Amino acid sequence: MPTGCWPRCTGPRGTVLFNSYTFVLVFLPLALLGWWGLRTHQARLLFLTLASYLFYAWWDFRFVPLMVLSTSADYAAGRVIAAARSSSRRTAALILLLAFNLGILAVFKYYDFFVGSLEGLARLLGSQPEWPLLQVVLPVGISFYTFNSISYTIDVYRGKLQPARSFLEFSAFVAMFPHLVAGPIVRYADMARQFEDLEDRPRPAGWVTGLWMFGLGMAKKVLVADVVARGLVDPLWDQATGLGSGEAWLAALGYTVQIYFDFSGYSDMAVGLALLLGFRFPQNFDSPYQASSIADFWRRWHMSLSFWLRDYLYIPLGGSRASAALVGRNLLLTMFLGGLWHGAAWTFVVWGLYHGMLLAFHAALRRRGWVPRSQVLSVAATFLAVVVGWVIFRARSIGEALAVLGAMTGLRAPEGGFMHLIDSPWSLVLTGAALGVCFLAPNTWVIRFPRTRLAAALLAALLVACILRFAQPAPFVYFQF
Amino acid sequence: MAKSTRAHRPRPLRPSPRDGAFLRAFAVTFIGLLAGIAALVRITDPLAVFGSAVVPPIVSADRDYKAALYRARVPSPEVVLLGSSRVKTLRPECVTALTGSSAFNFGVNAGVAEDFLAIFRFMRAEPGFRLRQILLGAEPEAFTGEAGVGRALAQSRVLSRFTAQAPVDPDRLWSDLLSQASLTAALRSAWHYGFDREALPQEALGSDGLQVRPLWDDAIRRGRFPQQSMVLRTSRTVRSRYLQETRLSAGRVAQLHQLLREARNAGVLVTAFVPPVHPALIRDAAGTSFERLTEDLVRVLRAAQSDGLLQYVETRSLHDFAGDSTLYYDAIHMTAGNADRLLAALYRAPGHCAVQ
Repeated sequence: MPTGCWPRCTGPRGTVLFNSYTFVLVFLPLALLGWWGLRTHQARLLFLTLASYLFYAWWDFRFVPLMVLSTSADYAAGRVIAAARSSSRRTAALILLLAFNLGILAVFKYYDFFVGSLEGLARLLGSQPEWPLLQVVLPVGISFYTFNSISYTIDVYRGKLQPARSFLEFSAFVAMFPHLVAGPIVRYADMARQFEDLEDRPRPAGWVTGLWMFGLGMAKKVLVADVVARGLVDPLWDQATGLGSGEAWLAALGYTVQIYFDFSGYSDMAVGLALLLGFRFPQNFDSPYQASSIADFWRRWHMSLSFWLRDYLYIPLGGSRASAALVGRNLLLTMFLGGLWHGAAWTFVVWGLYHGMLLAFHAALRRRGWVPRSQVLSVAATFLAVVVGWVIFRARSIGEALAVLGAMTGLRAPEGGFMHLIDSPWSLVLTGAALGVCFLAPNTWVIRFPRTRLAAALLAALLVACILRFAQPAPFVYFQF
Repeated sequence: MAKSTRAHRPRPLRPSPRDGAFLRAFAVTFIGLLAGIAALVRITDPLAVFGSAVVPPIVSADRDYKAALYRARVPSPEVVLLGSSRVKTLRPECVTALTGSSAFNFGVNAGVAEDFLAIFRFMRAEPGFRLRQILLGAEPEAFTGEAGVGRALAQSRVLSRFTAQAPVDPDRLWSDLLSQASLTAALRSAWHYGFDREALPQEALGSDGLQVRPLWDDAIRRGRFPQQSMVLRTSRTVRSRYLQETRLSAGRVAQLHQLLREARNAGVLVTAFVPPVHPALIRDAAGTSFERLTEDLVRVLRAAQSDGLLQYVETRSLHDFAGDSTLYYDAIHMTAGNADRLLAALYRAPGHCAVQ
């Protein structure tokens, strides 16, 4: 999965990106001016909603009605569920709403995958079916805003949340551009109070932290992830089936760096943008490569998704309060669906199942008290397991994943000879340094950002250095999900 | 699965009395740096896209310059070479030696289909038009990407009149002003102008449009030209383009067909070939769309040949024109040695006008 568009992530006007001139130099200043310039609650929410729709329409205006439809259905369902007097009516409304949301996902994201897979199976069995494929463009961010909406409806159903006070508040929540296309998966329960009591003037502390988060996130993406991707990861992965052992390790470690700096960079930017608007998003990354177990990794990686899967899937399935076999089943099922959430491809399914098995294995070890006591050993073993997972995740096919894993283990030994494709020694140095940061540096969430004038100037220079690299835009890895 | 509820914990905000000063310093630095870089690039115009250069650009603004050279050729040439920088080292003198016809090299930097059509229309509109043949160096990159008038063509005072003006991509405007490439070029341009004028320009154009690179040729003669690293570096750059491009642009192929129709109506024979690249690029580009797009382009050219619109000559491999992998400046630009062999192959006259 190169940082270039794969499988398809562009519409008629190209991809909507935080790391683009239009966003940073035009859209964002205008959006902030409008948001803080308007005085009334309703006008500000309307502005934020319309600005976010414009942001989305920049990618492909044809999918804005789909988002409006999804938002309307979720809002209506929330009202119906809250007003229903009988539990059967509430349950019916919830089931209808889930069917609607999952139906959208099924059509736009999974239909072709399932039909294609069934066709392949039928061919294996000797028949030659010609089932029609939809071949529709995958709407950017559909998995994120669908999950945002589903959590809202379920929370209302469970009685943990009052329905949104107005459609405008809810539509502004679903569409707000900082989290619209690649998360974090924000819950209405965390945002309702913030939408009710909008800050009416910018708080300097929020802006300082927001600028730091946005600037550091941008640097993670543009100055690290993209450089490693272009210089090392993409050239090696293009030759995936022919890589020698050392090259395969470099390809795997390079991608491990790329995906972390890319996605956590995006999340930092989203958090920073939200702060510039006066909102506070939840944390999405907590130095995941410092995790001491695979369960710990999932408490630190894409936390908003992990906790969504926990709260709305794993616990309803029975969670950890069951026999070892049932816990294993729950973990496998949850991670299978988590893998499928990432994309309609067998590599994602296998990646999800792989993590499900690791989690089940870890749960079994923990029950017996066989968890290693050495922190260094635990972190190293967890990191190794995660790197193997990223190979499956990055590969374009299971065969390619097996080829790279085979080369890494030495089980198959192609000649390799692709080191000259690596852009420069700088890519290697940067990969090594970035790994060092992953293991040793504190997380951006806990850093106390300096507030001196010199620090401000350095941060501005860092952001300008990023902007100078916008001429070679690379979409965020998680845009395709 | 996770038991913590850390995900729902927002980042703590710690107000400080220094926040206001921080924000002011950030705004001043951010705006000042952007404005300063944009002004430097706009004034120096190092890549010759704004037409405002106060110091010599580090690339030749070759569209207008070549148009001026073409106008100065009296009588006007009978054979013209069209293409990108990859054909700029093909010697018109060699064409004359092979055919007896006067010739001119109208290859332009980053030339694409729109450039070729605009150049042909320009020549057609000039007095004394007597063109009989176009040698068209067609590479896939000239027929990929989004069709539309590029900045260099749009900025050409002469050639832009022969294009259908298309809206300029807004991000393109920004990237011309605020990109690492523009800034580096502006600094280099200003530095050379201020301290090292002899280094400018690295290339020169003859009155017949031929590009020569005196510094590089001198380094080659002295055995000091880093050909291997140049090949590697450009190979990577070109290769990365083929990671992005997945198909030929229908709009640009349509521009090609338009050129071929207009040339036929004017009685001009078009001889098309794919400029051969260094074998290292062919090897490095395996796994990208390079080979497929080249095949697609050759199919387009052969189909046009079947329709009587052009004559296609196969020159993609060194073997086709008795080329030599050492006679390249980099992965895509030939030295005069290979260029002469290529021309001889186009006219099926091997050995003629070869540079020793």
